[in-house]
Amino acid sequence: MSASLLLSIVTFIYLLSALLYTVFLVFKMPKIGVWGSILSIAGLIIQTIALAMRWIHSYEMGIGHAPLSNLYESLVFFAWSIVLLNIIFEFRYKIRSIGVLTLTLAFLSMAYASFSNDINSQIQPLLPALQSNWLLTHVTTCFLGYASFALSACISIVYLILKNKGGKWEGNNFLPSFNIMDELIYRSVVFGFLLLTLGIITGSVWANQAWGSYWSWDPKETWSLVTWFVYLILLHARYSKGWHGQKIAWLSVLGFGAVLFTYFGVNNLLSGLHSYA
Amino acid sequence: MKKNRSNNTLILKWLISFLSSIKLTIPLLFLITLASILGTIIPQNMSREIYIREYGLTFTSFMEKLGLFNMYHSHFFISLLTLLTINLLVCSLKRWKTDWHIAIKQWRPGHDSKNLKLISETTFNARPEIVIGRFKDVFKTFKTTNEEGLDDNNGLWWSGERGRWSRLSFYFVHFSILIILIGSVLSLGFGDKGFIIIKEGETKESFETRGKKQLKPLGFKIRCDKFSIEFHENGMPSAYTSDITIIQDNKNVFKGAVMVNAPLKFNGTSFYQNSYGSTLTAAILDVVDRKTGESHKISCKTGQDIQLPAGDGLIQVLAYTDNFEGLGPALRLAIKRQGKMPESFIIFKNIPDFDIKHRKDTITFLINKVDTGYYTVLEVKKDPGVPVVYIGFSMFILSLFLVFYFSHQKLAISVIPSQNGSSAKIYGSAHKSRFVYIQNIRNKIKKIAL
Ligand code: HEM
Repeated sequence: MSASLLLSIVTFIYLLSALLYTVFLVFKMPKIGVWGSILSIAGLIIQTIALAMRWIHSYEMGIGHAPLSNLYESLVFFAWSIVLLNIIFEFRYKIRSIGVLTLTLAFLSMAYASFSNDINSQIQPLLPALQSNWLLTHVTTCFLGYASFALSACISIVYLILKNKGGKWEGNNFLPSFNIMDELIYRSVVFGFLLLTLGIITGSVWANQAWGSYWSWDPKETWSLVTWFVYLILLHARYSKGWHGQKIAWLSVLGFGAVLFTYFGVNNLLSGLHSYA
Repeated sequence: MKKNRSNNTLILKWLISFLSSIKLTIPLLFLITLASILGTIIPQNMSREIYIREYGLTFTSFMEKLGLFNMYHSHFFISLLTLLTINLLVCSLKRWKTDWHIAIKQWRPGHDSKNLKLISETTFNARPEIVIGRFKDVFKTFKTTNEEGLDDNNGLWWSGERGRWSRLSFYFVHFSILIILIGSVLSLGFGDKGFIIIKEGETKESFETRGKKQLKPLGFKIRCDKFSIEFHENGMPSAYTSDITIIQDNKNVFKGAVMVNAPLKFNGTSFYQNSYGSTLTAAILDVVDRKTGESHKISCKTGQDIQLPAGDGLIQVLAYTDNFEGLGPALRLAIKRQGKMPESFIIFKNIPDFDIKHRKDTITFLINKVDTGYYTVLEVKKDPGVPVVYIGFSMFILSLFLVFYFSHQKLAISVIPSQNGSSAKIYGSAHKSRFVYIQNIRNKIKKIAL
């Protein structure tokens, strides 16, 4: 079986899982929720195998490199990261219902990668500028960071919806109380912030090695810094001004907006060094 | 006079508290973010003509004055960064004493402390000593700070804490940001950047700075022995390599290769593969007489006057390109004849009859052969800031990890004997992620089965 066929299957598994999570939440059917989780885990395992196959295949083609080198591969890896983080948070903090949003995002990312006409899913050789050990660390840290911010935004949206419906929410087995949700928003921001920082730093070290300049204000660099600043504001508002709850949730959604622009907007609307990925 | 001085100290106090406050930090970060965004939307460092075409003359001058076309080096942007640095410094200087005292002082609540946060009440089927023992076992990462008997009916009290030092970890974060900033100031102030263009076989001893276009000596000589490109099967380039030799005091002291992602460093100067091109080393032309069809070979180099056959005048190769607008290799030539204006024209290797068709001269030219060689463009950099920035980077990552994943956590328990065992009250708090901490403690307590 080929990696690309597996990835198509994974796309549909994520869709199905998102649907199950929705049914679980709307009709309050815990068993269906369990199936949503099981499917997301199955999808993640198959996707991991598919990514490994793609990686091995690139070596067989004699152009071996990690499957993280173009828009297609980054979208697939983004989906993988967000499903992974969703599973970790779900088990650790009992927040099964967030899967409605995270799995939908994972599905959209996979679907966009496979079905968009302008995205090439072929395994391609690397341009000289990309041939570096930093490629792997730079891309994995950035995208794990993005996925963590996505998760945070998903929890924030759930938080904001519940809050605006009014009333008290003391939490149940699938969705914790407001206080805990608030901290989970914070925790996923923090993980994302750590990884984005690592991503910016590895990118900077890499740029210094490839072009002799560790910071050149190219649009992608600048936008990743803009994203970083938005979350820095969030963290300081929380630490020093004691902001919690809705304000932080809104900032987290705003931050994810900056992530999306860094990821898609910069390539499509602005020009710079990163035009290949 | 006296009033004046107290006024001054008041102003100074206000200034210090303003410069150290988070009320300054957040607007500053906000402004820097906005300015950065603007810098990505307005194209930076283009020529003036382009801006005038885009924005009109008056608006262009206005934007120029604001520094919007060189945003990241404008006075406005640099001032914001400086203010942020001052903010960071003053805040740390002002607070550290208080935080230091908190960080060195052990948390030692007596059992009668009123302001402890109760997080759980449970009963156990065991005597207080056993409960406390088990508790210390489960929470052994907490250092005991107090242990005493309760006055009433043989009860027991225990308190512990961990991660007290983490109250200081954000100083490390701020400090490493300062180091990174110091490194970048070193780069800007003492770094030297430029490029060098070397033909294969050529030796250079200075490089050209960007912007000001000055020539600066390298302090040694560098020769490009060979430049080569390798390709993937599908025609994409896979590697650009410049083989170079470094010469000092007329001795070859170093031989090596510069590749993309693999710079070469010598005596504090780094060389990076930037780009390349090809130049003409020699061209052999066929000079054909239009009437007789008689042909002569001549050999030329760029910029050299060569005699045409039969004393017809002089010919010079002005320029060579290996691909003229998709039409392949081309030469620009100039004929100089006595008493006439020099005439310049183009001939193509792949279109042999181009010259016959386009010029009405007695002689026409064909490219018989071109010998080309590559030239390589290397980025040259001396940057004493890099090691400092890298040290800052490593400290930053490490200290971020400390800030995010460690907090000052406190835990206390009081156990009093009851009818068939004991009943316990558990208190606790954390200086970050309080609710998750409490939830974790509760989950752990549930697992204590006695
Ligand atoms: C651009 C760089 C930064 C600047 C200018 C900055 C500035 C400040 C300022 C002015 C304060 C207030 C101190 C006070 O309330 O007395 C502060 C507090 C703090 N900052 Fe930063 N900061 C920066 C980066 C960071 C980063 C990257 C982190 C890591 C997450 C961080 C974590 C903290 C923490 C934990 C506090 C203490 C909050 C408290 O306990 O009151 N800062 N920062």
